[in-house]
Amino acid sequence: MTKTTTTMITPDSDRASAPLALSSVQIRKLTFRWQPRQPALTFPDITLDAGNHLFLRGASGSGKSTLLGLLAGLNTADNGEVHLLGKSLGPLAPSARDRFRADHIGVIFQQFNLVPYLTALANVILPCQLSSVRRDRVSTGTCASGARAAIYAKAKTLLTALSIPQELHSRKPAQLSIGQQQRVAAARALMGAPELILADEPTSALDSSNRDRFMQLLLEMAQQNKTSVVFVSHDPALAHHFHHQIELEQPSWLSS
Amino acid sequence: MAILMTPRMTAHLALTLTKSSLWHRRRILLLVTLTLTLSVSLLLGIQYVRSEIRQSFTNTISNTDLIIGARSGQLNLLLYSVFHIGDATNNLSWQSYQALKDDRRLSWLIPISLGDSYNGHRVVATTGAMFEHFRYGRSQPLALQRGQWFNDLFEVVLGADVARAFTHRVGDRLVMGHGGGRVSFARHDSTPFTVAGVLDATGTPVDQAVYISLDSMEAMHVGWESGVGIPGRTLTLEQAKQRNFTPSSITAAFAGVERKVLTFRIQRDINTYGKEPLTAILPGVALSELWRLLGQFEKALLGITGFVVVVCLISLATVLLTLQAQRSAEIAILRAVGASAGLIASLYLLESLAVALLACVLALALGAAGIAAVSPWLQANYGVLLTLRPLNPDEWILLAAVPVAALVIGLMPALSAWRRGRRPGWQVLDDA
Repeated sequence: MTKTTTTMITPDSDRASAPLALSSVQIRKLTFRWQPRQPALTFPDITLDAGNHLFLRGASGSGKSTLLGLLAGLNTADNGEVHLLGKSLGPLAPSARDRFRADHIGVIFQQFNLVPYLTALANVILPCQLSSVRRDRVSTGTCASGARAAIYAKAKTLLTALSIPQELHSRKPAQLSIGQQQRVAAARALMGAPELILADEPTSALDSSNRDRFMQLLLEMAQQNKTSVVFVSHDPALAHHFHHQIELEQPSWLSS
Repeated sequence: MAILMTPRMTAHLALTLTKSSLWHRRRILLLVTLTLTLSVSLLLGIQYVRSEIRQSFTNTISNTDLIIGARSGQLNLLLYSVFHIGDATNNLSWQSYQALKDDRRLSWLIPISLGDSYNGHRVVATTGAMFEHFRYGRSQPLALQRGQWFNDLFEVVLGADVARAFTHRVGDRLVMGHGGGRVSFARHDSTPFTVAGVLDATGTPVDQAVYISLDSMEAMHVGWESGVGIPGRTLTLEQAKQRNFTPSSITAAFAGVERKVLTFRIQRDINTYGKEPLTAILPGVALSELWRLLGQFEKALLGITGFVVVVCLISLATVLLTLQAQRSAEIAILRAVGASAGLIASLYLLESLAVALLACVLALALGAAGIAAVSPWLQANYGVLLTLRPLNPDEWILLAAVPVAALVIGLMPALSAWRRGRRPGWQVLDDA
């Protein structure tokens, strides 16, 4: 039902004996169904090494977002395994999954990424308020009182690097363009250097120049942080930005 | 590996987020709070007024064992003698009054004679016994704010509200109107009265009346036998002072009984008095009958209170659930960023609680302002005293129920957010 379209992914059988800790994402025999009586969505086995960027392409209904939900620990699989950073998500309690997500994963949605009543800067800082792991990564080496300042400085640096000028930092999302909002969301995902970023069609609402800029900035900064990226889109034009790509096929029961 | 977030940090974040969220949506929240404020003030107001009216009723007269008047129903007698509402059907003859005075079982007797008015306020003709023996509230005697009780012809003592309404002072001269009613066409122009004193406020119908002596009442009606003053036949102060006045009748009398056990026997003796058909009533019994009559009104108020509670709760639920529906996108984002279900539940609860508490505070302020504004009018028109007082325990419970209900209602979406947190969902927005 699904197939790997590039050979850049090492076949799973070769890696079976390799320690899981080496790969940031590893999924095996994963299936999921939204309703108990629906046919299950099945996903290809994926192994993604730390710092690598994966492009997941597929038509609507192919389960792209569902897969991201499974990776984020927001959905739970019916069968199969999800290992992130060498840790299996399956046995974790919901609260532990929330914690894991807060500590290790940055998420970018298609739209409505930002908390409407927080400024751009406050939105970027949010991960550091929800996770002490990510806060400590930003503020290591600073004293307690310097931690706050370090976090703000880091957030500003990220925003500026994602070409959000200083004067927009204190604006609410409603006062930003869609392109700016998505870049703020990218800054938030990058904040505190999580090991994995999950992006669900973040460029679909952007025009082509904005889109290319967004891709370039996001992937560049992910590279710097050695952050793995799983990027979902239906747009094949984006594929060249990535080390690997996988195409998810529409399940037959949906296309018929 | 992961150092857990301390509860303090989470609480701090929840408060910060709630604060920003409330401020961000302040316009809609203000409207919502106003809706809630009105419901709460209505609820609290009805409860408050109910207990105050009852208090006001029972406060009107105290220590008086019997009220004696011409034969009539006990409510009628109570209403006209104490509340100055309505008129006497008949009078009590002076001879009967003298007979009562001679009854040694009665320790004191206050005669009152009604009929005239001063700008809509009842003129009560009485004697010094009124000042000496009349009690209201918790056995409180009448007290003078200024001046003294009348001790001469054509002197008048004003109730507190009358003095305030017309800004009268001791020494002012005023003219009584003939008959009841706000506007008198016939006035006792030739016999003006001088203000001798002003009574302290009592919160009873006493404040609404003016007091003169029985003699003055007689004197100012000389020459008025036909119903209007015939010029030349009315008296001047000097002429009046030469004469002795004995009223032929009075309207009613308040009496104190020497030995309380005799009260019922005296009542029966008066009710079966051979020379004149009289009625004696026990004020307490009459008051409770009056209250029983008004009990229907109280029950209606209680019923309304019940409905208001239900309406309040429904409006509270509607308003809070609407608010929370608005937040689903924001909640999805927070969850994706890693906010725990507990944090999200606390956001919902804090918002409900904040709106409910603000509404309660506003309702208290509104209620206090409302009572302060309405009570002079109520007292002037109905003799009912509404005072500002601290809330009683029942009212506190009623008020406290509002934030508690808000918490319970806030728990509904909080619970569903928590449940949703356990249910599959990538962007919660999608599966809401």
